[in-house]
Amino acid sequence: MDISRMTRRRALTIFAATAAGLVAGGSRPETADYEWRGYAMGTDARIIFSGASHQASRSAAELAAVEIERLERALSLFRSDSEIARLNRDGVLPAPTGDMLRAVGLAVEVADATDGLFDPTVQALWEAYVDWFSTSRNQEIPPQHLIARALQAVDWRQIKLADDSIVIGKGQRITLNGLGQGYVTDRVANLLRHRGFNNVLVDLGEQRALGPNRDGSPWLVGRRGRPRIELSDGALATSEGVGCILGANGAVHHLFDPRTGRSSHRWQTITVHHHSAAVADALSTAAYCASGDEIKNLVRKFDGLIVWATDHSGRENRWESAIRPIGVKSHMG
Amino acid sequence: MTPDGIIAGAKIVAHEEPILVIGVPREALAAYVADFKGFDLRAGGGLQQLPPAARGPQAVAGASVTSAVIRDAILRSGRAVFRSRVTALESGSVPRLDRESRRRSSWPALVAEGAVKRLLVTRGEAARLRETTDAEPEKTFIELWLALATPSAIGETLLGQRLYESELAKIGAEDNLLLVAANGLYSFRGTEWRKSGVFDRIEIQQGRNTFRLRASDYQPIDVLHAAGAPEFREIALFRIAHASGFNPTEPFRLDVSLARDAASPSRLAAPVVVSLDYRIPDSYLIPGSVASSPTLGREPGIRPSPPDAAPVQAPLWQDIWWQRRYEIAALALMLAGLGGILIFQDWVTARGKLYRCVRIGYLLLTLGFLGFLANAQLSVVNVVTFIHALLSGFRWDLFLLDPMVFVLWSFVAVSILFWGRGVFCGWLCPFGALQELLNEAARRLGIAQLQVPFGLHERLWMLKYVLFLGILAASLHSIMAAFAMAEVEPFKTAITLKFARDWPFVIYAALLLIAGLFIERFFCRYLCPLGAALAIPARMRMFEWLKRYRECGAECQICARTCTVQAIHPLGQINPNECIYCLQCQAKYFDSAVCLHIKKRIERRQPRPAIKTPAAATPAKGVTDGH
Repeated sequence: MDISRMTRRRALTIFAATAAGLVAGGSRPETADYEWRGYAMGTDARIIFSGASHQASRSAAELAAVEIERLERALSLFRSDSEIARLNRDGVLPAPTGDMLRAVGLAVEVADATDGLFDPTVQALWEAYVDWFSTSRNQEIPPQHLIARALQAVDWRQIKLADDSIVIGKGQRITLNGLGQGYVTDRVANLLRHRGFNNVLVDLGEQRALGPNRDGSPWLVGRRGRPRIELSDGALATSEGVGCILGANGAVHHLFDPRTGRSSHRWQTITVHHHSAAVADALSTAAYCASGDEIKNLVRKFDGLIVWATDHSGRENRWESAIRPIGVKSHMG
Repeated sequence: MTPDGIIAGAKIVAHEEPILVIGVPREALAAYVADFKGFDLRAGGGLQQLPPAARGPQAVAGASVTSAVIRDAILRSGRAVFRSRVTALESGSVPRLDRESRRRSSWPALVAEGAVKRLLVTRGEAARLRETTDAEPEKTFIELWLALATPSAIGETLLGQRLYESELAKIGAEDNLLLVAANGLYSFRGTEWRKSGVFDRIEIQQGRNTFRLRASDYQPIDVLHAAGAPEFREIALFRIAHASGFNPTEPFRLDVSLARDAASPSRLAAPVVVSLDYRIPDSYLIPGSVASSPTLGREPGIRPSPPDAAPVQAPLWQDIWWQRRYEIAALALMLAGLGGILIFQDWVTARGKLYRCVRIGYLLLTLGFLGFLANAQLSVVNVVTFIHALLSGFRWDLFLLDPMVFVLWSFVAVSILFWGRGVFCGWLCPFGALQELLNEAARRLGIAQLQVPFGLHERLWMLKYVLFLGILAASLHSIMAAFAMAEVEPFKTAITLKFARDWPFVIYAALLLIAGLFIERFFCRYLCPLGAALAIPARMRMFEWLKRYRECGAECQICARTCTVQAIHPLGQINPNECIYCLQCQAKYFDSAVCLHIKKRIERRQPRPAIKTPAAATPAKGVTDGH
């Protein structure tokens, strides 16, 4: 699984109003912008506190780090003792924590809503690809029979959230990598809001803004080759095939279409805004495999969504719900 | 006890329980106590881990209260020792939760110090979080309260003593109790838990750990006992096992998952969780010691606890006084009433009818309330204990443990100094009251009273002094022997145990009461060692308020003959060593229908016409005092 961690590149950059840490040294002003950097769910993580005291930022960062670790114990595939690792190993997880239940529950819900465009059970597919590329030094795309066999284990409808347990289908394995980071982002953001922080950006791969910068200016989220997005509330999630490439020729990446079992090549980049980072995360994964019409339907069906979809020619489509979200604005290039 | 908290053995060294002395075989008690071997003090309810057949007696037949007390004593002291010896050492310099101090607090005080924490989510906020709308955004969605109920000042205050103690008995030495209470539209319990056995809406988060709350660790609570506590829609008590890794000294939080509103299908939303942070206030922690030296311990497994890690015990007596505050207040009123009667004794006794009502009423109160209800029968045992305490280093705590006896003794001490020992004997002794009331009934039924010749009577007085000195002397050798001799007092049989005792004791007490039907207060007159003990310091008394005429004894013996305890010499003077201060002679002193002296004076005045002031004719006025 380390492959994705090593090859995955950060597609977005964030321009904080003031670079954190610059003001360290010498006398410390009462409030400043502080940035915490760490590691969450197998990827780089950072939290920016705008116009906060050193003391408050520090204790909040410590709190967030501990909370991330707690949630990783449930949701991270990078930990062999996590709840999701145990579920994949045993096919059943007795006594799941509330966070595990809610994350899997939301994954099933999004899978239902997207009719399987997002499917947490694609882990079997991913493992089949990783095995193919790592064991036989193959550079070609895996043969159809391998993919077909792996696809048999891909069906979110076999996930059962029973009384005090989670059960998955025979041979199934689930991943929360299309939603888990977002879920952790939401939890950390809510925890910080509960602690009274109102000018924070939590970036664990997806960006969730708790209000704008302290001076009222929005967070500026830059995208490679695309106009920046101004974010002052809600979350942005971006899916890019080039984020994690398998094999040498670049034909295979981590975003599989659960219907075909092949990497999707419809779009270059998908960015989704939603109030919740977890929902944005899952829907950006779903939209990556979806056609323009399917995305349009999705946006029509659910409130509070904006989807930016850039095709391979570099042209950007933008769809948004009738009840559009607040706290986000895209600049015209 | 072994270092890992297992009871290695238990046996009775000695016991002084009067009920167990008689009737319950010693072997049954010994077997019951020995059965605690192997009990794991760390485990909640420990014995459950053993198969039922090996459990042994759960109680001793015929002494269920006593066996519960023994069980409580063994487990409680075992846990206290385990905590102070083992936990204190293991935790080293880390502060630990103070589980021993017993204190009472109130709801406002707990809220003020942060021992009870609150989270309010209005319906407007909940709607915003759940991305729905609510027509009444100002109303309460959920108002949540959270408290670590393990320390007595929190748990006992909130739950009340009975429930707190029974819940404490269910958990292990290091387990914890958590109380969650709420009002509002939303239930933190939901309904799922009945089916799944786990509460799906609430969770405890502490650092990297998540603690799920299970139905098996759940106790519904009807009402909070804390003074000033509001009413709640739902209250739950959860037991959190030490083994789960929960650390009560560290901050933790209660996460409440707000279930999705099924009525908004056009929303895809992340689950909403609200949190209530909690941290036990420092006043409930025992600071860790700097460094302890394990080499100090000589015996394996029992190492000395660092001196500054010893728990600061809030005095137990304060707790007891608080629990019995109503009884204490009633007693205070009763004593204030008696003080009034004594201070205004002339006024009371001059009104014969009033005096008789007061007298009978007070005796009934003494017998019923002090005796049978409050068990506040003073005894010569108290005197012996007091003397021994003076000899071996006096400690207030010991005497403060029984508030009724303490208050009563304080009053008696003062009354002895003022008026002599009679105030206690005549007014506050329940057995005395029982004798006098029975004798009163006997008289009304026409039972003839025996008049003991004064010469004999006077010599029989000595008996009680001999008894008292005997008990005191015996106590210097063996306090148990003295207590056995104190059984000459029928108080325990008649008042404390209400005759529910072995037959020789019952017969003895009954015989004394029967004797009392013919010779009023037979026991008081000749046998009571407590009366004797009080008569000795009573010689210091300050006031002589009992009135006599110069002629008393010379012309008339009415008072002497009718005296409750024949404390009036044929020559007329009242013997204060024997007097029980019942004030009967005082009532007669003022009674023109009884007192010969008054009658004669009236006769003397009657032939002469009342020329001067008519007031001079009233007997009470202008009468010279006997002294």
